[in-house]
Amino acid sequence: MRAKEPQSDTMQFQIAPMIDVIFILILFFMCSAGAVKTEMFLSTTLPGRAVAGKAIKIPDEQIIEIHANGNVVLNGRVFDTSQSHDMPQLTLTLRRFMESSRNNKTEAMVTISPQPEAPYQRIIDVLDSCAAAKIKIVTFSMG
Amino acid sequence: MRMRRHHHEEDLEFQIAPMVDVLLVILVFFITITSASTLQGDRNIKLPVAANAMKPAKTVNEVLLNVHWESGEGKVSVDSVQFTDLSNLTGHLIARVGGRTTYRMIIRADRTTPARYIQKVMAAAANADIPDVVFTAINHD
Repeated sequence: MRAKEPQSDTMQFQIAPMIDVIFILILFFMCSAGAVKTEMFLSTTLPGRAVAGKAIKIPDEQIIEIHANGNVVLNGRVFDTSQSHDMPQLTLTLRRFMESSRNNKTEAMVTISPQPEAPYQRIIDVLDSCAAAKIKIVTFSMG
Repeated sequence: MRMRRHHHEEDLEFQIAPMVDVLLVILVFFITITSASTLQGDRNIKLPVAANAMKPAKTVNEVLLNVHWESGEGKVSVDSVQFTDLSNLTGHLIARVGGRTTYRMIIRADRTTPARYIQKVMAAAANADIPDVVFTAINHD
């Protein structure tokens, strides 16, 4: 039987607990990555002041109305159901509008006109649809 | 050969430098995912959902507005100051903008807020000469 060696005075690096900690960290981040809610942004522009004497390109404009019950109306037609956040019909129409504006070499512009009691979530749904159709100029009509 | 390996094992010591490296990487990761605007964000606000929202280009000049809507009453908090009367908000925003031409306003509003209240907040931005307005949304529920 070997005699017990006296304990070393110098602190030694233990790789096993280090690897344990790293594995726990990786496991934690892997599990939490799917549940992370990321805050993202949807842009809009408020009407600015026009400079006199400067030529202004007039864009192609479409006005989207949002009713208090959540109905989204474009050119007198109701798009998608007010229960769902996804708006595939509106997105498709806006994509076509974007394409025709590009062919006509004009800018596509969407004006959102919500009724006073329209829910904010529905405004975001329409903005999201504009973002999906890659429409850059989105503005609001102030009631 | 055997002696050399034994000598190598004896030299193994705790290296503080790689440990600090790892900790710094973790720290940088947390700093990156926690932007200044998230720190100012109010966790009580239930943000709307938007799958196609994206991060806009970074700007130095921005102001974050938390818009609360509870039992038919709205209030806005900016820079830890609460506004129930939105006519005072314009003055605060004008002072914040300080005549700068490029300024962005970030609106973090509760998903149940009616459009009329959002329009009032946007009118305050327009009166303070802030043309760039962005809405915050989360990627999923």
